[in-house]
Amino acid sequence: MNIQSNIDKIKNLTGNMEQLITRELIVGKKSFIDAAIVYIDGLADKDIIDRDILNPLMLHIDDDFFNIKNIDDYILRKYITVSNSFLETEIKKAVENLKRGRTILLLQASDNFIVIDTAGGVYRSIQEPINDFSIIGPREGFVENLHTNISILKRKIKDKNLKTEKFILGRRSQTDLVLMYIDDVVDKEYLNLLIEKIDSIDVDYITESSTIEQLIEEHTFSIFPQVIGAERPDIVEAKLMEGRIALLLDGTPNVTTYPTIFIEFFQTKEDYYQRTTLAFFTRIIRLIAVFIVITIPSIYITLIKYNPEMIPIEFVKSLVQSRKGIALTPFISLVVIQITIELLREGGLRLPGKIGQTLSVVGGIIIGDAALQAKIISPSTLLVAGVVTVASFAISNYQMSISIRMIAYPMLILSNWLGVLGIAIGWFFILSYLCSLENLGVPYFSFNKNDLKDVLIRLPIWKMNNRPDAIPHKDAIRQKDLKGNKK
Amino acid sequence: MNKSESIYLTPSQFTLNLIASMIGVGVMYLPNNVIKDGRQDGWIACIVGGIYPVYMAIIAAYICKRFPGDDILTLSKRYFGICFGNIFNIIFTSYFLFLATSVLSGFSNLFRVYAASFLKSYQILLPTLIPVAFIVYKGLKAMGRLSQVILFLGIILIFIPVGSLVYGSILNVMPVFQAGILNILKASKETAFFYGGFEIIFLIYPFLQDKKKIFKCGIESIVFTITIYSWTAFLSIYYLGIDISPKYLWPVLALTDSVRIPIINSFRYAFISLWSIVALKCVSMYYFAAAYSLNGIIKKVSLQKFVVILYPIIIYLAILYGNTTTRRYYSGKLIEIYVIFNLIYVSLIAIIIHYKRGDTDEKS
Repeated sequence: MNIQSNIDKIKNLTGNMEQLITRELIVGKKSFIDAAIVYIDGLADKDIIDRDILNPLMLHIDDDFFNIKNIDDYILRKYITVSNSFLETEIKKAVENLKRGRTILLLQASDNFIVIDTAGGVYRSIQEPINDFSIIGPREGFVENLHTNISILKRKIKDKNLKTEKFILGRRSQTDLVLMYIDDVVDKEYLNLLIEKIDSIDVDYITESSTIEQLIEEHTFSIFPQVIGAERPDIVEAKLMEGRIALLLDGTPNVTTYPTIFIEFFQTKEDYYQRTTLAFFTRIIRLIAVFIVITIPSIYITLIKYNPEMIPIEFVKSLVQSRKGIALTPFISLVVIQITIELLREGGLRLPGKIGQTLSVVGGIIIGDAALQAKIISPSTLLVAGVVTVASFAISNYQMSISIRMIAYPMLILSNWLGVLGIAIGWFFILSYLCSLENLGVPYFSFNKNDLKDVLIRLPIWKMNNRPDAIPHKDAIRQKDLKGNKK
Repeated sequence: MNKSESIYLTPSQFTLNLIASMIGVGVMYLPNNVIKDGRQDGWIACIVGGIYPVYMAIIAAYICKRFPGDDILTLSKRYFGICFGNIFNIIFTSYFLFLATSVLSGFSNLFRVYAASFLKSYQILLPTLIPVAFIVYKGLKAMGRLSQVILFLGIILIFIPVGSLVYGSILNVMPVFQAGILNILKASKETAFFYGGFEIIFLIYPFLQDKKKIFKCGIESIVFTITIYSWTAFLSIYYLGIDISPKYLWPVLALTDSVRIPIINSFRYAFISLWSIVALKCVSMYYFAAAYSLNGIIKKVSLQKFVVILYPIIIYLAILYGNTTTRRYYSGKLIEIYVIFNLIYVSLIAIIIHYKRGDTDEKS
């Protein structure tokens, strides 16, 4: 087979990219055969190519290849000193490997392609995720390199049942996606549904796991995030153990897990590393935060506007006094200050660290003070807005925290219109809506008696013998009844 | 985990749906109804009154055993003929419509008195029914889950009046059985409205996952409801006494006054705001039952469409009840007729099924 024609084919399949490097060489002791290596600059590690391919092939060959039948196999076995190397017969598969940083060795008189793993290129090293850190627990985080991420998880879970399934997504980006799950725990029916959904994705490119989420989710316009992601392997490990499926996408450290349920957004890994009682306390605090963010502004409006008789008399005096001379209604002033806080939050998020802090603190203090002085809002309204903002940051997941903040606005409008009835029907609607959500048949929000030990509270680890019922799984038993055995 | 497309309820969801269909806004004034005849033994009447739903549960378990896949509407059409069957079914449907509107109207009255006096009746009814219609529209599975969540709220709320134990007197409930068996029975008749709604079991048993548990689920829900009813009746008598309690329109709310929290003047306000979620869930059960049975009668129109069609009808009917006193008067009269109808209706079907042993369920 002509080497040049193969190289041309490869060039065609890779779209004649400039980074495609071909290096021709001749191998043999006395009589020579032609050979060539092909790799993509930047993806392959040149040191490996020089040391483990070119060096043995050009300097250390002491064979003549006259009588050798499978010359490609012979060279692969004898001279290529890279561990992960194999023969590939199809050119398309060879090119796929090429795009992933591997080098192809072509030989005269051979139809096969010798694929040698020389994947390199520069990646971020494993670090602690900035947005996902904890005080106790492992410090490593996922990186953009898929293989590193897989290896991190494989290092953590050595069970032979940890399975990976590979997909290539995006017509143009051809991004690798790997599904990871524990074979004898995961619910096969759910897994197949998920695979079906992933197979149906046909887009140009995919850069982030959240794009996949948006493509396969059932409730596009739902206010609640439907899939949770993590940058920390210990979180993903725990989720895999409960029968979930992890989606690792090349190029992003954000690993999403399916199926996701509502309560996950209020759990952190630290809840499990901490002492049981402390975990219970922090969880309750988080749920109180949710209640405060959604309800306190509307309760405030209701009490001031419709039911002042409910406010204790001493308090009414100071409230009335603080509202003297303010033209805006409590509702309008509360909405104005809430939106200002949203602006500060959003602004502070995008700005670089130090300026962001300045914006939040100085902007917050100056605007708040000026609004008071200018008689735009009363101190009590500002207090309510402040408490709500602080509470919203106690919700551990940022996406969920924004969703919860958003809910507060319709609740405000409802309470301004209907008083406490608005709050009641608002809450009824939120609960109804949560209960009606489903993702691939898994209820988003459900109350299972057995799961309660890990919802509002967190019982001791030795009490959680079963996997949560809310997540479909094949094997319900998670651990032996430790304390039971002691008896 | 509920993966399959077909709707089914877990035993726990089934039980809680049944509880949700009994406990609504009525529990707030239930003590007055039983005190009228039962005097200080009114709370015992609540227990005796539980016989009605127990009878229904027995019949339901029997029918379910024979025809696990067919609800009562189908059976009624099969055994009474299309014409009579449908007439019975329409009456049965109107029963749920009556309960839905009555509870909704009761809710609106209660709310206007204690929390939202600035709103007119229709201003309360119109927005209130929207989330209720939403959850009914979303179907039985979602409702089952909602019942589970709301039960926890309900349990916490119903035990809040426990604070009144400190202030009441045991002499108020003494001597026990003074009213006599006859009066207790009379009083227990009054509880029919409060146990009404349990008949929904005849519509939803085909959705129960494990059909063998139907009787257990039914009994569990009844025992729970009986406990709640006799508990509130007992507390009212214990705290307020049989002379003062009837002076209140909603005596159970007076019990919550025993709880004082510093930031709010009246705990009743907070209590009924929270209880309204339980009451709305109750309305949603009847709403569902009405829409579901209409769908059973006219198959061409989907359940979802009936939800939309019923919305203005329920609002209109709920407005018709008028104030609290007239609402209770009409509800009391209507429930008597409906209870007799229901008893005859389900008993007849059970008897016919019993004597036509040859028939089996089409689906099984």
